[in-house]
Order: sequence, then structure tokens, then C-alpha cells
Amino acid sequence: MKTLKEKQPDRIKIGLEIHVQLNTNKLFCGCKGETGTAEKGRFSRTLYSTTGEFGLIDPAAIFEASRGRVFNYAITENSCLVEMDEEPPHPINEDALKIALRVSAALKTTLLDNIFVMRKIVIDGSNTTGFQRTALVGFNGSISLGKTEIGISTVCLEEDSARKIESNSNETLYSLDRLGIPLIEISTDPDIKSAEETIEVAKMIGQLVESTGRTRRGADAIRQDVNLSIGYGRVEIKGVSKLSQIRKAINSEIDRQENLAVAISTLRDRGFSEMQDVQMLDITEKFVGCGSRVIENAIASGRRVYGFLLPSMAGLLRAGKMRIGREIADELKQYGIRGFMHGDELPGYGIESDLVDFAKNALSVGKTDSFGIVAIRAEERDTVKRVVRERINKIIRYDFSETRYVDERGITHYLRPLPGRNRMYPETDIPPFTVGPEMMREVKGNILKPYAEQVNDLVSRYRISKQDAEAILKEGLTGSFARLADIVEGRLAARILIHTVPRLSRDFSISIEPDVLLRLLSLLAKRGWERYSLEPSIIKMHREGMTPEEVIQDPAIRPLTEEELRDLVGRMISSMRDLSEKHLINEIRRSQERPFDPSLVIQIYRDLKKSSADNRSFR
Amino acid sequence: MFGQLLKISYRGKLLSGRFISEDGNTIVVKLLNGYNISLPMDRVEIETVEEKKTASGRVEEPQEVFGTGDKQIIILHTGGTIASRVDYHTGAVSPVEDLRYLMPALKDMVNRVTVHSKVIENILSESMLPSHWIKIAREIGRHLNKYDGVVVTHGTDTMTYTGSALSFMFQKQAGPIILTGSQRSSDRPSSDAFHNLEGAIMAASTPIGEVCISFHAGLSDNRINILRAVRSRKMHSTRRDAIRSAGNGIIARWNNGSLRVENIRKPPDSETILRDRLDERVGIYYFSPLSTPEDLINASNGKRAIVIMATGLGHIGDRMIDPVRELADTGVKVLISTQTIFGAVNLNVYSTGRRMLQAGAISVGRTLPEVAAIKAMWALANVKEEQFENVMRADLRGENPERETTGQD
Repeated sequence: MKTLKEKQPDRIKIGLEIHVQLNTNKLFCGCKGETGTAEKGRFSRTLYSTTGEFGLIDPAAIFEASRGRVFNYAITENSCLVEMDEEPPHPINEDALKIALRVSAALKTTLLDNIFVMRKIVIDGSNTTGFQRTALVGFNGSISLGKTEIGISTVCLEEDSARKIESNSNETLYSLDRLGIPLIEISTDPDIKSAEETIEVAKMIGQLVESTGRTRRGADAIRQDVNLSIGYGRVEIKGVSKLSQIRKAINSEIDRQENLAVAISTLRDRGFSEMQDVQMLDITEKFVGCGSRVIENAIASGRRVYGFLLPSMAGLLRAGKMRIGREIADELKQYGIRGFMHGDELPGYGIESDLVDFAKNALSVGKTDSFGIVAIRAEERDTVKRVVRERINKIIRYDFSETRYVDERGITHYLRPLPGRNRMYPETDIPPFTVGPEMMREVKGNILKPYAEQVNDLVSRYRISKQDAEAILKEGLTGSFARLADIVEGRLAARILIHTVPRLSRDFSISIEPDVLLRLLSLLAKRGWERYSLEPSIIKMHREGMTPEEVIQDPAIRPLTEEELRDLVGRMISSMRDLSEKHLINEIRRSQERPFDPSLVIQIYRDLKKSSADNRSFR
Repeated sequence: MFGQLLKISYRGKLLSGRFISEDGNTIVVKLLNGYNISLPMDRVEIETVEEKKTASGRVEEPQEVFGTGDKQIIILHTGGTIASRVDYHTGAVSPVEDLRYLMPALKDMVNRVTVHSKVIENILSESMLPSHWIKIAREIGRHLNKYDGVVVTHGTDTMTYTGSALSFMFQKQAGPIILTGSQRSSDRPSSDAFHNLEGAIMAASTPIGEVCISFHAGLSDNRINILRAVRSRKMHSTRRDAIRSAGNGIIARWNNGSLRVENIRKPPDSETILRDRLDERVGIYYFSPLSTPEDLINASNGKRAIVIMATGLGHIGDRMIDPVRELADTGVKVLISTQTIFGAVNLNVYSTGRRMLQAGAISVGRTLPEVAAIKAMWALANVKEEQFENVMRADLRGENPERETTGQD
């Protein structure tokens, strides 16, 4: 029998699955990869479990099918028959595939020559097909975390799932807007040892993918699943979207497992080894008017109250850190059964001790025994029996492996059994894609460097700030930046791309073609006007439909010369009293159409002030 | 061997996986993590691994009878997507005889019906021939005496053809004959097969004396139409509501488990009379601005009847009228239908039509082109020559309704 004492700290094994959305079109159709587009209608579906190549049904799929849910889908502007499962998928998006191959190469994986699309059975409704299409792109790579090498087991290109909008116990509504957006999924080996390391690795991999410049922005653009084992089986924690959640999720899950192991060990010390058939006793009559609103409402809606024995579990269901009760409650919740109560929390919830005594008596609850109470429809009895028995019999063997999700507080909850390899079978609607020597050369001839190295390269080569370098990488502006920085100095090129161009688009709805920008900038740079005339030139071109060659001839974009400014500032000093430096700049902006260098104005102003003061002192 | 555990060395890395298929150039292997990968044969070294057989997961046994209800329904399987599973050797969808996958459709009807299952054919519907229709009709005829209703699973591409042929061949039918199929194979979690089949079984246990098709009414799984076979048509290549009524075709609607009958022509007859002779010398010709007189003559070569899919009200270009007369004069029945699908042929409105009539063309009214062709095959083999025209103009099975109203699919 395993006990806690055998556990060593190095038994903590953590692996990451990082999903990053790409900003290309969708993976298997031409729809745009946007979210939040307008709704065009709805439809509803049911899904059934099916078998893989070897005739075996996936346990996670059986679980979902047994829940008998109805799935509703909102059709969006950016969805077509493919997302609705009303048309076969189109060939794989080569743009997305190239990005995945580049990332895969940067992670030193072995790249596959033939890309084979698989169907991964997922019947929680998040895919209309009942499977997620996924393709292995590379395997057996690594990434360095300081001196430690973290293995990269696989890099896959897959389609994102539909976005869940709302859910109750029988129905779920999904939006099709997100379904089909390409995701790069990077899975590490279980080489990570701590929550801190996990965050480091997640950050590093996330940044590497972002440095392709082809990732989407937004709340769910990068999502992590954490695989964790401390010796009681692998637990997959789904949907850790923020890095800050990782620490909490891992630590709370380790706590849960350690406490559960203590509870199990106590349970086994009490001589308990297996949960027999759960006997459900109908105790509805006694609970009419019991004082618990939950139970009274349930009875009023035709539900029955059942009690059942939980042998040897007194004080282990919920006392201190013992929480076997939550194990049962969480799994029941996945079948839409709420309001499970047990001996450790009763009397309570409005249920008085006389009722508790009655239940204990009726169920023959011994000194170390406890009991559970549920208010359910009669036909749900078998589900409760099965869930309680299977849950206890699983954890009693120290088998904690399963899929869990993390809530906002960072606490993990039961989601479903771990999917097995039987969930995968080939996507027969898409023939394997042969990468071919040309694409392979393109990928391998242009290997992404580690993110930190890319940032340093930009900083040292162009003398720009680290923040600017990071922004250029994330926005995918590396190429444009290099071209601009050939013409003007790096810092200015960065400012133009990161600040000027987005501002013009935001404030004036102007979008300037990259080659037009390049032409304009080189014309301006020849005359030394690049610093102050760029923005007015672009605005003028936009408003008056001019080309760069035309706008450069326009006197309005020519910067004021030093002599012109000296003359102007001189006249202003003599005509205006109380002229401050700030006032001066604003005044010139207001009165002059042409651009100018504000620092030059200040310098002239100070010169003139000084010389007039000097003159006065001579008098 | 399929499923054999292999050790593969590829680009200096060692992989373990199970053999799926091989075509000389590439080998497909299922890795132990579930992914299939395809590797070039010339770059891999393969070693087989001996292992002990261990059972894991759950394998369900095939089941041929299901339910405890009074109504005895038999499903006759002919193949098609509904009975398809992935062929992992070729990677294609191919039909198989194991039909346990359809059982999810039956679970809610366990107390109402007893369902039996029999494979009578295994063919994709695009490969169906009139001889298959006859074979299917005879199987149905045999079973209609013993069962309350018959469901026929069928590929969707030519399901309406088979359904129409059955409609004409069964002069009387002692129970419902319901065809159904699916647009997504039944090995897919999202298959439409289960609901289509559920609707079909329910229709087959309802007193309907017609040949029908059970198919999705829309994109949702909760509504199924029971369509009159002779008024329905496959109108989309991929959507699950592909088979639709061309007007006056919906006879019952299944909605979330309950069936509402709206528009049946007749309840089941007291006996079954099958007249299963068909004359195969009938063709279909699609008229277009590209058509030449020679095309029509060639298309009619060796035929006893030709159905012209004409434009609009039933018109064909001037140049085609002489060949129509030529064919009619030599005894070929020239039947005029419309490629608009919806609406009726009327050759009395314009002079073109009137000249076509004078040349010997016969209007089939509202009858769909392919239904007209099948009806002609049946009529040529079963009614007297002088009755032929009248039969083609008549409404025998609901194929040529006199009235078309609005608000009726």
C-alpha cells in the first residue's frame, strides 16, 4: 500500500500543452479567424460516441455520450458550411502549416514530410463534427530553460473549438466564430519540476510562437493545459488561459492530491478496500418540510430524496483537509446532479439533528461510517450509484488520473476521464499533405531563433529599446522594420511602425500600403525631412489623393527652416508678452501649416531670450 | 499486419507505433500517443515487436434484433454512407455489414417497436441499377407480409430514384416502406444517420401506405421530414437536409421524438401487390442552349422513351422540334418535364409549346424528370401501349399532383 511517506519531491512531474491561435484564415476553410462576429442563426445537434480503428471506444467519449446533451450553435458571419459540419473540410491551410513548421523547426523537432490530419474525438459539443482535426507536424524536440533541456514531445497544428457561450445541465450554446481557427499545439515532456518553472517554459514557448508575428491577440489567443503527476496518475488541467493562474492551479492541485492521499490512506487503515453496490434508500417522506430549502424545492418539483451509506468515511468527506465529499460532488455535477450532502456537513443546510439521526439509523451508519443524501429524479438513481461507486473505487487505488478544469479562484474540479489513444482516427476527407522539398527549404532556411536572441539582435543591431523590439516581433513587423531601418535610423523606424502608423489608422482611418510608406520615407529622408514631415504628408496624401512623388513637391509638407523659425520666434517674442515655451510651440502649430522641429524652436527661443537679456545688461 | 506493433527508426529517432497501412511509398503508423503519421518507406527502418494480447477498452457485439415493442419493423440494408465505416487500409469511406453503430437511434423506442435487421445488398447508391431496384422491391415484398413496416437504408445520391421505382412497382403495399440514409457516415459522432433512422422507424410503425424517405428537415438534429419518395429530390451535395420536397412532398414531420402525420394519400393496403417489371429503354436528356438536334437523336438511340428536361414551362428551342417529330413518328415516346424542378409543364401557353405538342411531345405535368423516366420504365412494361399517354399524365402515386398551393413544402 502506498503512503505519503514514500513520496519524494522529485516525483512532481509537470508537462505543458500550449495552444496559440494563428492570425491566418481558418484551417480547413476560407473563413476569417475572427471572434465576436454577428450571429446569423442557430441550429442544434446531438453527438454519439463512435469507435476508433481498433474497434475501441474512448472512455472520455463514453462519458460525454452518457450525459445525453443537446448542443446549440450560433452561426456567425465568419462561418460557412464547413464549421456547421455540412460540408467536408477543404485542404489544409498552407499558410498556417508553414508557420507551424517554422515553430516546430525552432523547437528542434523532427519535421514530418507527410502531414496526416487526424480526428480527435471530443464530444462535449465544442466541435460540430464531434472531433477536433489535428495534425502532427514535428516530434521529439527540445527547448532550453537555462541549463535544463525541456523536451518537446509534439508540435501539432489543429483547429480551435467552438466558443462556449452558455450552458445548463442539458444544453450548451456555442458560437462558431472561433471554430476552425488554426492553433499550434506544443506539448512538452513531463520534464518540468515546479510551478515557477512551468510559468517560465510557458512564457518562453508563447513568446517564440508570437515572434513569428502571425499569432492572434486577445483573451484566449494563448491557452495552456497543464499535465501534472505527483505519483498518483496523470491529471490534465484544462483551460489555464492566464500565466498567473498556472501557479495557483498547480499548487492547489498538488494540495488536493496530497490531502486526498492522506484521506485514502486513513480509509484503507480503517480496513476499507472496495465500495460495494451503493444501496439507495428512499427517505423522501421524512424530509418533507425538513427545513432545507434545496431539498424542499426538489421534493416540490417531483424529485425524491435518497440516502446511501458511505462506509468508513466519517471525518474524511469534509473535515480539515479531508475532502472526499467534494470528489463525489464534483463528478455528480458533470451529470447535472447538484446538492449532494453528506454526514460530515450534517446537521447543517437547515437539516436538524433528528433527521440526521433518522438517516443514520435507517442506513445503519456505524461509528466510522458516514452517508450521503441526494434529491434527484428516480431515473437518476443509477447514475448516482455508478458515479459514487466508481469514484471511490478509483481513488481508493490511488488512481487520481483524470481531466480537470480550473475555476476563477484557481481551484481544480473534475471534468471527465482522461482521453485515451483510442480517441484518434484518420480524417478521411483530407488526403495527407506532402510538404515537399520547396516548402521544407523555405522553412529550414529561415529558422526562428529563440525569442530572447531575436530581441537582443534587434536591440543591438538597430539601437532600439527592448520594448520596441518586443513589439516589433509580436506584431510581425520584423520585415517592414528592417526595410524602414535601411532608410532612417532604427529608433525612428520603430516609432513609425509601432506608434505613427497605428495612430493614423485609429484617428484618421488611414491605412498606408507598406511600399507606399517606404517610397514616401525615402523621398523625405533624401531631403532630411523624415522626422517631422511624414505624418502631415500621409494625411495630405490621404485627403487629396496624392502619390508620394506629388506630396513631396507640396510646400505645405516642407519643414520650416532654421532661419524661418528664428524670424518667426523673434517676432513672437517682441509682440507677445508672457510667452512660455509650451505656449510658443502651440502658437506656431496653430499659425503655421508647415511642420517643424519643436526642439529647434525651443533652442532658438532660449538663444534669443539669452541674447536679449545679454543686450539689456550691456545698457 | 494491421495493428502490429512496430519499432521504427526515422531520421535518427526511434518511434513505436501500430501498423495501419502501406502503399509501397509510404507507411502509415499509429503512434502510441494516438497520432497517425505517414513516413516515406525509403527513410525508415522497421522492426516488429512481439507482444502479449491484452484487451482494453470496450468492444460491443453486433446486434440484429432490438427492442420489446409490439410493432415489428425490419431494416433492410443496401449500403451507402449510413452503413459506412472508415476503411483504414485505403483511408476511404467504404460500406460494411456491421450495423451496431445505428443502435443509438433505437434506444428511445425500445418499448414501442421490435427492430430486426438484414443486409440485402452492399452498394453505394451511385452504382445502383434498375436490377437492384427490382431485387430490393422483391425483398421488401417478402418482408411486408411478416412485418408491420419496412425501413430500407440506402445511399443518398440515388435514393429518390429507388424510392420512385418502388412507388410505382408496389401497386399495393400492406405496410409503410421508408427509405433513409445519411450524409455523414455513422462512424462519426455527428452523424445524421441516427435521427434519420429514428424518424424512419417511427414512420414505419405508423399506418402510411406509401413509399417515403426519412431525412433531416434542416441543419438541426431535432426535426426530420417524412417525404413522399416521388416528390423528393437530392438538392444539396453535402448538407444534412439535402433531400427535400419539390412541392407536395412532406407527408409527416418528426419533431424531437414525436411524429405528426399531415398529408398521406392512403393507409396501408390489405395486401401487397408487386408488379416488378421495368423496361430499361428509357433515357433522360437535358436541353440547353448548347443542344443540337443530333444530340437529342443520339440520346434517344435504342430508347423507347426519352424524358426531355426542358426549360421553363417545358420549352425547347425551335431547332429541336423537328427531331422531336422525327422521334415521335418512329414510336419513341417524347416526354416533356422541366429543369426548373419546381412547378408544372404547360405546353399550351406559348406557340413553342403548342408546336411541340403538334410534333408529338407528351407533357408529364408536375412530375419530376427522373420520376417521369422511372414511371415510363414501369408503364412501358406494365400498361398497354394505348394507355401509355394517359398513365403518364395521371397522378398514380402522388407524383403528379394537379394542384400546387403555397405554404406546402
